[in-house]
Amino acid sequence: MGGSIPESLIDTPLDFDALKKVGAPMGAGALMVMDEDTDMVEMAKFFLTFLTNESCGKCVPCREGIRQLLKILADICDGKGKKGDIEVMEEIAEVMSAASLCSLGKTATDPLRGTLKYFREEYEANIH
Amino acid sequence: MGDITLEIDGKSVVAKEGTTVLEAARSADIFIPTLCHNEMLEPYGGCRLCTVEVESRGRKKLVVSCLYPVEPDLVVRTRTEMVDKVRKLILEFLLAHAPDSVPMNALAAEYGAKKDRFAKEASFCILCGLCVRYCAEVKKRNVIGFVDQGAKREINFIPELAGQYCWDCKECFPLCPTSYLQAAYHLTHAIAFPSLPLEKASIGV
Ligand code: SF4
Ligand code: FES
Repeated sequence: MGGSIPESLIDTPLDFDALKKVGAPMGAGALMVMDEDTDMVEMAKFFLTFLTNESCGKCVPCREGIRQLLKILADICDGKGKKGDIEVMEEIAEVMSAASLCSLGKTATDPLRGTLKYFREEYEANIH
Repeated sequence: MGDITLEIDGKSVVAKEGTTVLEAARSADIFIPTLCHNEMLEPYGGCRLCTVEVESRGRKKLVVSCLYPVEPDLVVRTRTEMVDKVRKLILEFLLAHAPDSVPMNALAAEYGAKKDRFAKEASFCILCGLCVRYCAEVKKRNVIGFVDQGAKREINFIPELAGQYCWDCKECFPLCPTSYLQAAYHLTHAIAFPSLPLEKASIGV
């Protein structure tokens, strides 16, 4: 599902291995450029909202994992994030990648992981 | 079909070709938890609770044991740190739907899963599909089916078919790991056949 990288990595070559190495797998191959006004937590929420509608809902990690991630992300976007939220999201992301039935669930958290890696302070700013 | 020798939790196990890791483990009295598996039905792979680690030619990966076929010299580990982590979270996700489920509470104790880690969800159903598949595969009637997808997925009785078949069957009720199925049936019955008195629609529980 792709990932996001900060401005400092903008010279990363556009190939599978190089992108994978920085934690932003190629995904469907589309490239989006955002400026500093983009809320990266909203971005992660946007992708997961799209993916919960795409998910078939058959396997538990993907169906329930995205459900719980979206609740936490909604809280953080509303400025109601709680201590420990990031750790819960990381645990869910790890289990989804490891145990989902298909690639949708296995890669659904790529955008989330990318933003947690490079834009963590945007999450932390909304967690009190 | 020949016999295959594999290793499960350090124990050498002989299994028939074409059987699954779960079947091989059970034949050797090695316990792997399951929620969506039933010997009468085709393997499904939905709950992912039966996840185990397999190692083949030096490569390790996580697979669901109810679907993964045995292969020669396969090394299976049913309790690794990652396997336990997966099972704990799956149970916590599902206990948010069915906090009173007896089989899930027993497993929660084993894996340290907390039933109130996630807020209570509106639907009791954990979507294991046992009722849906039993009705389709064994009874060949397809009275219950899945509708919608993603987080909106749910089970549904088709009222016309339920009215015709369920009264004399109800064989799927005891398969359900939650208490949801009977309630869903009563609701369907009440909505579809409001003229029938409730006692008659009840199944005597
Ligand atoms: S009603 Fe029960 S048996 Fe049917 S899918 Fe839901 S949890 Fe499984
Ligand atoms: S028992 Fe194997 S996935 Fe449910």
